[in-house]
Amino acid sequence: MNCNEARQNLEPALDGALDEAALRPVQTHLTTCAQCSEKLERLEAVRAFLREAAPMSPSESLDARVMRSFHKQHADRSSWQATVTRLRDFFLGSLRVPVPVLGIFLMAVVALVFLAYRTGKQDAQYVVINPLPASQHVEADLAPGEIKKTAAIDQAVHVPASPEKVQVSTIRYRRNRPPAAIKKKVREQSINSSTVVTSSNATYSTLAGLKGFEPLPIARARIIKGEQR
Amino acid sequence: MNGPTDDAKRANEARLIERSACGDALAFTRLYQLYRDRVFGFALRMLGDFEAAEDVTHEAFFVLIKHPERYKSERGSLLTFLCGIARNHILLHWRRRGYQLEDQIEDDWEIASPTETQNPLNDFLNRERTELVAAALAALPVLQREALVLREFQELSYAEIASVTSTSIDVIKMRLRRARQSLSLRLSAYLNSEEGPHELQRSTTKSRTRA
Repeated sequence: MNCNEARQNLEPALDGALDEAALRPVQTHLTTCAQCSEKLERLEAVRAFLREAAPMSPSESLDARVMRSFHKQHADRSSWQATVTRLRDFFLGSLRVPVPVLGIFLMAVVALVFLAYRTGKQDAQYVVINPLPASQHVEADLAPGEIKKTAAIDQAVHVPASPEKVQVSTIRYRRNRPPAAIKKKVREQSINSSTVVTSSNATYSTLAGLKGFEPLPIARARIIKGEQR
Repeated sequence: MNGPTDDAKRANEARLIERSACGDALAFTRLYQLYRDRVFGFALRMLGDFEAAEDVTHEAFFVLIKHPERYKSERGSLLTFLCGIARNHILLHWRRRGYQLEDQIEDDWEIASPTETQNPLNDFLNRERTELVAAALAALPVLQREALVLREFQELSYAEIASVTSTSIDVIKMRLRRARQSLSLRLSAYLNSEEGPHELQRSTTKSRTRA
């Protein structure tokens, strides 16, 4: 390595920007070249001169100003995100999951739990009724919790433990879909005519088969609490 | 290349940033204490104005407060990020004062010889070393000063300085070389009276002794 090459590398060597392989020839050259050694000494002296200057610190008013900005920024925000992050750090350690992703995941879990709860509730509160032509209204007396197969329509009916009201909430039609007004009327009629409730046992019936409409084989009856007749 | 220590440090920084983004004042205070003096030192050495340097430091941390998502740990250290913001505000400050930075980019290769200034040694004799350094730095062209401050005081690597200043490593090397040569000449009277350290030489001698 000649002086020109060495001098090109003096500063990178001083700055620790050379790897071992590149540094070795520079060091070797320095052991034999007084001029380059002097050059390096000069660079080191400049560095020492600069670095021995007193460290600089801002005033305390800057600290207060910065912290004011921080608190102002977060004034309207609740600390739930900080809590989530702390919990994540505690449970997941160094595994990095962005807070928004974690939030979406938690929301999805809550939604699933809610849906599962609703599904269970629906199982308990809905009674499946096969709507029949008007000529075949079904009536049955059921004790709370009893499952009974009626001979006439061959269906299982589940009445929840404490039914207070049975209400047909949905009736759909296979064809000749009725206009909204009639549909509403049909629903109201169905609800009224199919609702027969006592506190200890239930009688249910469905009214369907209005002229021109053929009901689907399944309608749903819903238990509504708090209304007794 | 990042070592495991750097990676751990950045991961820790990223965690503190996330917590401070969520309003954790303790996490933010920790970050602020870590980098306050370095960002402020950079701004003050560049501007030479205490109040303006505090404003720049506030602006740098304000971006971290308001837009913490802008910091990407994979792109560099938090110090690099903060210095980058501080730099933008420093340039803005210069431009507001009507200073045309572009005028003196790489063409400013003229180094004033010690005789051209009014005997710097006499000027410096009654000052503290800090003031000497500030004066010597203030005499450098802005971009050279910037590279030198980021290297010598912030101890950023060439790659990090290039990232902060949006330029190449070769340009940074060139600016550093010019800045050091200029400083060496300007401070020659002072430096000649001191014996500088010889770390590289010592390591060379040591390795030769071992061999």
